[in-house]
Amino acid sequence: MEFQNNEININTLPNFNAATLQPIQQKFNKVLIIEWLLLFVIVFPIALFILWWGFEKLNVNLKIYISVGVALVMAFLRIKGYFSYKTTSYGFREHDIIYRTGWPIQKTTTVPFSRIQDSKVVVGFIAKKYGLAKLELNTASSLGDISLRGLTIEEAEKLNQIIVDKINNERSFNP
Amino acid sequence: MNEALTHKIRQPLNAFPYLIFKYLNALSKVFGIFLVLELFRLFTKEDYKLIKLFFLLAVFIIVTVILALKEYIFLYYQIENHQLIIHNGFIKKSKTVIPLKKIQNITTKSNWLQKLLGVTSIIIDTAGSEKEEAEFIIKAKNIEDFKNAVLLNNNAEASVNTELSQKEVPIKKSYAYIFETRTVDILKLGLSANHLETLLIVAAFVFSQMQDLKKFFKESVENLSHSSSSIVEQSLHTVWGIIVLVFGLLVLTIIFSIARSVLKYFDFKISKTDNGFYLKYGLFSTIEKIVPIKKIQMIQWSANALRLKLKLYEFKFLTTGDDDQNKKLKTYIPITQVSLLNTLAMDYCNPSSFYSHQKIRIQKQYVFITFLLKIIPLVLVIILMAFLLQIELVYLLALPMYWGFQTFLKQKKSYLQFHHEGIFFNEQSYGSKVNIVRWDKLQTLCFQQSRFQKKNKLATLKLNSSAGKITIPYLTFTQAEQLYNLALYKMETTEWR
Repeated sequence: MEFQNNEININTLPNFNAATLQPIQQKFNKVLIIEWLLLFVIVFPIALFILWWGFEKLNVNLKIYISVGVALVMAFLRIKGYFSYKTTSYGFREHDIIYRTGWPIQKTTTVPFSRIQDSKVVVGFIAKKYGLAKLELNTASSLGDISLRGLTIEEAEKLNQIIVDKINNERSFNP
Repeated sequence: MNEALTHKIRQPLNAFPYLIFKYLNALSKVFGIFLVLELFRLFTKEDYKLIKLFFLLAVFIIVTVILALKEYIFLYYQIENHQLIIHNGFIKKSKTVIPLKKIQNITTKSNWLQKLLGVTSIIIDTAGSEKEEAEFIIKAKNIEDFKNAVLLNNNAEASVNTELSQKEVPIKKSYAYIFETRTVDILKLGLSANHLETLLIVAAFVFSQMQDLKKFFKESVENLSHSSSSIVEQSLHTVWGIIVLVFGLLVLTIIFSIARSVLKYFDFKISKTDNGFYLKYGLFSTIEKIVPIKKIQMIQWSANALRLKLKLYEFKFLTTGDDDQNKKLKTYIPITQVSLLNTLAMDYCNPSSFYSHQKIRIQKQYVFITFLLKIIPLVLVIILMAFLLQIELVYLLALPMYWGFQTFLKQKKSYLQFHHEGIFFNEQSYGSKVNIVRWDKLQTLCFQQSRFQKKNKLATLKLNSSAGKITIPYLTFTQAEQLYNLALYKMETTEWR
């Protein structure tokens, strides 16, 4: 085969920002609320108990400041959870998966199929009640798994199958 | 391949005393404190029953021997069908199968006892595991056979090595010497090390030892710390006292820095092999390591402010899992001549090939946002804490000042260059850290934008490889988008290895 080394024009490459992304299931917000409530009911009282009864010598004013601080962090977590859910979306292209999430910082992660080592569908205890699941994509990246949350169980399983097929069939694309 | 390796092989009998030493060492780290406590009681309590100490010692020794025997009797290894198989365990049996081509690193390690016994530890590391996959002991004279067997298969992914395997070329014969450290190099590295870091390490060590000692020798340690702190307080009242204290601390940290450099770089030798680099170093334990070029995911070199002036660098080959690998297993290559950087990086990606390309810089808004969200809040927290707790924290304000100037320098001096093969990112502030990563070695990409960045048409890029990530903050939106698209295109048109 004749060796070719054509110049690449960066401006004509497919733009990841132009991909159409679809939002996750609305029911997922309920799962996030329940998860947050569980955290609020369990972690917050324990933290307060340890603070007020575990550190008796600590200044009362300081205890109040810390308690308010913890409450504000809890409130921020709920706000962050809500806006993150609002901005979460995903899209499949011919060679990769795009996943957008996060608030106040929005992160768009792209995983090429050729880099996925394995993928699995995980159905959590609360998510199961709402028929939701998450799709975990495992690459060799030092950052670990990438999880697509807020999919219906059927969607997750279907997408998982598509990924498995893609991994098996993926060949280097040579233009 | 050596026929004997295809059969199940037990660790050599000479290794048994080392196994005893290994488990004795491991157990004493966990339970040694109880023995020390009992010994202390023996000397302080008049009615202490000696039998208690003997019982504890007996349990300690029996457990050590059982663990050593268990490993000696039940651990076997073999190489079969291009796989390294390790059998282990008695009640809970395990069989670890590692395809030879998945092996990222083979490290050999021998301390003084192992050298005396003529044995060596082999440490096998693969992708996807947070710690080393397997460790076992073989006779020192068999190391070459073992490495040859693994490496010849390790590169058998392509048809390239058929000839090699037919020839059964011993890897050692094809080593091309690159360089070795001289005493003067170690001294230079020791003198130019980060003395502040050394001082903190020494301080943390002394503090933790004081805490341990306090438990047993409460009064005398407290007296000692009181008397030493009063000497320090008195010294601080005179100019000469301050000078002597500062000079003393400086001498102490320099001595420790030199000692650290000797431990890190003593007898450091690096050679090039047909398929990678061969490294050998160590004072008390000799470590031998082979880094196959194909397994290198990223390269990195760094220097603090002083070393940057002296052109001394610390070079690293980053392979899969290096981000979370045991720091002790990471190899830092001391560079005393700049030309060596090119020699070492050449086969992965030639650094000088980037120099003619356009330099892309971090945008000025990076300094503004770091001050607004990190440095100013830190100053406010320090002031608030000082006010609320009624304690003197003014000296802590040096920290945000140092950090602020570092941010300013980072924005001014850092730059990236890229071409069809990969990206070169020089992160420079007081010192410098250079990362080079090839596009085909990347795993995932992340494009990050805060509301502020969106408004100002800026973005942060994160390039994730299996050996770590490169974060490039505050590029213009267009530059970040173009780089992202190019990286993705390159990743999707190549296979990762």
